Amino acid sequence: MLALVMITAAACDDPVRNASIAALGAESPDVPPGPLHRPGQPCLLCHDAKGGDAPLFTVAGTVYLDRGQDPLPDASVQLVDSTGRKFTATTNCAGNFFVTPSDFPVQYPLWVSVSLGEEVSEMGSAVFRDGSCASCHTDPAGPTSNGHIYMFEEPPMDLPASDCR
Amino acid sequence: MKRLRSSTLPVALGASLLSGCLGNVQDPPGEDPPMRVSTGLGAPVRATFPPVANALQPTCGTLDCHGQVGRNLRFYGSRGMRLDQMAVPGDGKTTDAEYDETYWSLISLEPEILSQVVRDGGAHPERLTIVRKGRGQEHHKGGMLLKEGDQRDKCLVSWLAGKLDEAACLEVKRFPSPIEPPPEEEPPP
Repeated sequence: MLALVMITAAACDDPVRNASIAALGAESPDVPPGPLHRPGQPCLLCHDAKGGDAPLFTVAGTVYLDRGQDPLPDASVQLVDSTGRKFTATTNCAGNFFVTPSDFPVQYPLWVSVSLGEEVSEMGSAVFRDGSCASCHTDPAGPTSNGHIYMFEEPPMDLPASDCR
Repeated sequence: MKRLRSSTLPVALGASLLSGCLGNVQDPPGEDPPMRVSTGLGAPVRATFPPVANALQPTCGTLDCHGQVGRNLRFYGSRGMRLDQMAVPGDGKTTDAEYDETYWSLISLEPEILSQVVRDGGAHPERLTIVRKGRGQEHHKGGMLLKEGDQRDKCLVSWLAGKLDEAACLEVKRFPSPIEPPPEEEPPP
């Protein structure tokens, strides 16, 4: 009986998912697991139905100020799905945003835009199946990614820096 | 369709290009022709493929879907995965080499079934998985992206039939985003 349970458990484990999570590396020692952790990583890799204690997300990601590594807090991430339903998330001081199923149960495809004040940047294509921004928006930019999500080519001088602690 | 043999290949190639409906499955570019193994398979012509690729890529070839190297159906192009290691998604235009790779990927999915569909003038294209999945007739993670008879569907199906409806393909380019309403078109003079 124990052998049957162990075999079943092993069969339910997902080696591809596990390997992908392991490849993300360890948590930053300065940032405990939580809303500020792991900016720029594919959130839904862990925050999915198999995530255990990790809250479930439908859409999540990180927005940066520019092509560098400074986060962009307080940006609005507008989501519109195929039913026309809309939701707006706001990035935290790490540039992270996340949307739960109760907030917005996505019906793909999904259209996304990011805005800060009067500046609006609309995603050039729809999202069809993956709510993790960083599944596609990886660094460095290359043939399979145009890099992380950012707002400005030339950030305004009067933009306050992130005050994350 | 007559089986293609090395001695008749140039004649067959010319005839198929002139007919414009049945393409000769040519050797991949850059490779020496293998010793002759005739497949006798047909495929839609590569020459008319770019409008089809342009119509399908915004929905099928995004980076989270078929714009990935691990997929059996792979789309390369300016709106998604690039072939050139120095290129970036969203930059420039789709190159001929990227159209080539996407074409080869598509026609290699189910070559025998594709050949039958092509020989039957495009009849019953749902024999192809790409059509069934696109139409939502078979489980497809990306959902239903082709509504039978809509412009995108007409674009693909007409190409399979060897009678490309290029107007349908071009119409698909205006894939609307619901975030902003589409710009109002100026009335004709």
